[in-house]
Amino acid sequence: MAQMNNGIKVFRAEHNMTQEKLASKCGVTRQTIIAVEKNKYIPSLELAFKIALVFKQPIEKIFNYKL
Amino acid sequence: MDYKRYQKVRTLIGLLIGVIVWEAVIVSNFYLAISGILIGMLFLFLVKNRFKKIIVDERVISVSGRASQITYSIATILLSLLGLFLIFIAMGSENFYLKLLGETFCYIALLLITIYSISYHYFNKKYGADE
Repeated sequence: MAQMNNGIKVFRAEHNMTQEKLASKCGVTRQTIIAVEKNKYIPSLELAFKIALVFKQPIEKIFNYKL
Repeated sequence: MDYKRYQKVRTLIGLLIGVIVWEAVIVSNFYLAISGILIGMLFLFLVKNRFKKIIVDERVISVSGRASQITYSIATILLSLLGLFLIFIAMGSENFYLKLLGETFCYIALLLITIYSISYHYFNKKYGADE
């Protein structure tokens, strides 16, 4: 079964950023950031790119996909 | 206004609309029901405008989409079955209103299917499935 993981929580901690702040920078609700962090919701490509841009990291460093 | 307060206010307005409509049904006042709903909608609009933060995003839309799909499926099946059941019951008896009610339920189910099909084709075309 395919699995999607992400390191948003780690990057947030590194950037000293709250979920609320990341949410407002990406233009989504805090609930969405919580759901993405917990791998309960797979974000759209657009949101994934936005998150990557906020952390100034390549997208594959934040999100990884295993088959 | 923070999100929790916004949710509380929205729930309160919803409850008030419910109470007004309930009261209007009891006293059989059509204008009271309509004005209650309109005033409630106006208040909801004003409250939403005061709340500046983003409240709808892709996850909310995705959740609404799934919820709508399930609601559509359940409502259509239930209305059709109930409508057919009422029509069959009415066939054995002389009750005209029962048949009318059954037919109304079936037409509502058909209307739901029509609206769903039209909106499905519209969004399917909009998101590039026209080739």
